[in-house]
Amino acid sequence: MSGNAQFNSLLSSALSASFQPQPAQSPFAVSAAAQPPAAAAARTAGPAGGRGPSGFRAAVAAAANDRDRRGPADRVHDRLGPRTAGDGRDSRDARDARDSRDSRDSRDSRGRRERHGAPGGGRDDRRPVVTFEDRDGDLSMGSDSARAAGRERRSGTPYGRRPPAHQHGQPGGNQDGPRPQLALRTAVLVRNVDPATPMADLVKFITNKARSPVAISEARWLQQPKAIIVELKDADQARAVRELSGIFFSGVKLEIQYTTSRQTSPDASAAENDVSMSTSAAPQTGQLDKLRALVRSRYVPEARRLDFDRIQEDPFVRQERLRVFDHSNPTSKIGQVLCKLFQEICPELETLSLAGNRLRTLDHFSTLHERIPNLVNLSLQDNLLSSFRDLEPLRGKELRLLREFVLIGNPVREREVTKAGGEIKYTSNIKRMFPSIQILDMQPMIEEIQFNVMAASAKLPVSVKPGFMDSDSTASMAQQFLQMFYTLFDSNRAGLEDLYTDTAIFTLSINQTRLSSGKSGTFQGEPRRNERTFEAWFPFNRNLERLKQADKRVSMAHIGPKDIIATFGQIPGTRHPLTDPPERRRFLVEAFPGVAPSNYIHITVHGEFTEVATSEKRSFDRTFILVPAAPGSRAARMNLPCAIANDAWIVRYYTGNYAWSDIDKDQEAQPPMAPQPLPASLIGTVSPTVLQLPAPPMAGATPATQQWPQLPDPMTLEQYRIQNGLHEQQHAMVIEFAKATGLNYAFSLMCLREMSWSFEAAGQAFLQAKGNIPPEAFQL
Amino acid sequence: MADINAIAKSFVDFYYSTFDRNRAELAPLYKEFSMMSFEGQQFRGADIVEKLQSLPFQRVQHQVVTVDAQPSNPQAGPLLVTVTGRLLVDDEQNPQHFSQTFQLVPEGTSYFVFNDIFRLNYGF
Repeated sequence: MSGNAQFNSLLSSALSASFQPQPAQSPFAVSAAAQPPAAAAARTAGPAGGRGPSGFRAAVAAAANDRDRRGPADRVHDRLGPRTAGDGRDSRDARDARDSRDSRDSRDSRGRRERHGAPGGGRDDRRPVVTFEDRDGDLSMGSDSARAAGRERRSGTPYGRRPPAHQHGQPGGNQDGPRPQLALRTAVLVRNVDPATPMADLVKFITNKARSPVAISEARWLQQPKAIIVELKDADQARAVRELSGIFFSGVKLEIQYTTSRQTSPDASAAENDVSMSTSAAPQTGQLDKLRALVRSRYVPEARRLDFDRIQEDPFVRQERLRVFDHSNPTSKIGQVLCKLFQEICPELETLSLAGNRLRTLDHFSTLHERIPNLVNLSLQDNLLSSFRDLEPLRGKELRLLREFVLIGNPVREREVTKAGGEIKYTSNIKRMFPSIQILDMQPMIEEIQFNVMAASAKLPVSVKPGFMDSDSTASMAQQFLQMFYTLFDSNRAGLEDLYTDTAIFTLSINQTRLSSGKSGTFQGEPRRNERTFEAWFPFNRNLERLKQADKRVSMAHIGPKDIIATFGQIPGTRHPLTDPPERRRFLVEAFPGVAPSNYIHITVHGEFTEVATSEKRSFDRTFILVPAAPGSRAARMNLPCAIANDAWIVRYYTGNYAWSDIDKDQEAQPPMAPQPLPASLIGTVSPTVLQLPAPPMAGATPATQQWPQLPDPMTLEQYRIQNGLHEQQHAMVIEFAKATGLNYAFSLMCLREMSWSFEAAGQAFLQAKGNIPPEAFQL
Repeated sequence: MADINAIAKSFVDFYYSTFDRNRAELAPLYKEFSMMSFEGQQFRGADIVEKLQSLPFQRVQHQVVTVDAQPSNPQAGPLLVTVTGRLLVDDEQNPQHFSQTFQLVPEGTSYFVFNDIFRLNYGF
């Protein structure tokens, strides 16, 4: 394929490309909003009254099963990402969820007497009754025992948290162990109660509906919305009320679960957590499977995010009476098991929310740094962590890639920041414990702290030199171009359309390598796909190192001004520090004219910008190939001398300008070589210095520069010849013309070319135009 | 002509693996009129590889993070290749970020490096 055909195919492929822009979002927008947006969507999208306000997980599980009833919740599920069809465990989870629903639904619709007829109910018959009873910890209850002999108890008991399918799939059977605190179960927590409901109505409703007479000794609203605690006379009555879970009241499905009595635990919220008492130090096999299902249901693989927040409110957890964080049992190994599950199920986990789990300690997560070493964002919002010491088990120094950390809503933070000067102290304490973080509690860390890391900065193996410019004319052209370009790029990208040639190519790639704080002597902190920080940039990432499909490689190149400008419209807004004084050295520019078959100027810019939406600073490298504006082109009509043929942009983490910030010192040591300083302006780091070119290698040859200062040494001249694709004869003409007119090589060549290589005509043209020729035409 | 993206990728793979193994072997990639701007210093022709060989480290390891490529002229075959990555020299403990831009020019069935612009971006 010829270069041209190659290019054309690239062009046509690119024209059919389309992108789905993704809005920039803090990974913790979720916890900041106090609930997952997906949950909110499920809430509004769910069938009215069908699944209850907190039925998100249920909706998801149901969507996986209600194949003939696909509705809005399915879409929520789909948004969560595809479940792996071939994953046996997934389908079993789904089956479990379905069966549990079925058993409830059948009760709701057909009445309790028919429960045994629910799908799967028959399996229960194979189980010894005593096992069942023991599992529920109800052995002491005489009346229950009697009922247990009855068929209705055996099949799908309303609070039989283990639906038949679970038993079937988990021969382990008796997993939960004894529940010694059963005696306390004289209270239930009722959720999804319309806050406008008079308490008396609810009490009356419950009393009427319970299968056996109940005497409600007290009912009170909880602080959390829509929840009521109901105290009963004894455990038997509590069971009767608990069995009503799923019943409709005022069109909303009530969710009822055990809670501990107020007498033993005045903190109702804490009590609510003690729903299912397990004294086993580590979860057993069956529970492990449930935890696994739970973790999987909370993981959003495409976002590498695990929303493990408010876990006790999860319907699955409640239904299964899972005790995820065992606050009453300090020796519980469940945290370590969870960490292991995180690693197993979410190996690429980057964003973890543990918000709202009433964690008083992080002992549970002492292995998190080993299991999820690449964690980037961690939220512990709305927990009960009360001192810095409580954070120690996390080993923040080992979480080397941790970038964002949220402690909002924890006593430790609320206490510390209200002290005088407390915020700074708090911030620096956290920073000391979690040295890599850049965002704390939704606020970017102040720079001073961030840059403390620089003390360990590496020494460069080479000395730093200013940007290379082959000549002042190139420098000033590059400068003018960049000034115009970036002003427009920040303020009005559409205005750049005329700057691009019809066949211009723009590509963007994202380098997500973080500043290394990894293991010494290694590239620890592998380049990361899908780094959330750059989420908004990803749709545009054309990194051939990552992008393997040939068609994608082609379609990710944007060709022609329309495609480029359209793409610019989707790329996050930028603010380049254009007004910073040159001493700040925000940019480093290298520019020189280039090669055959046509003239061009190659400009490479290194610098920084601020992303408008996130206020994140980023560094970039950007290379432009400028070609002379073709006569009649849009650029020419705009009186632009040149147009962009290539624009290759690399965006990466902010690294500052330390690589070249001490150029000043280097320059002081050199004799001033610039014939005239360039105006100080935004591209302050365009070096006015023309680097000393290597001495002409031909001994004895008179350096051209002595007699004709506008011409470079013979070696460079030869290079110009090659670059411009000239014969020796043409080359000689150009030099001759330059010597005669004082014009430099480029302008001499331009003049001769325009006059079709007639030396005479070119000379006349020169004389006519002499007054209008820019001064740089006479400079090297 | 092969896919330019594949060319860019294989060039980059070849370039850095050769660089890390024995940078003197890069010499054939540069012609007498090739140019390199290395941290702002300009070199050309044979000086380029001489400069690379004289760099004050014995061992170096490049890790390429991004590669991007564009045909830089619609009429002919030059290829603009931009690379960012990290490198480790000798016993240095902290990788440093670099950015490098190549202009590859076809010659017969292969390419040579016409321009090579190298910058460290510092990493800490």
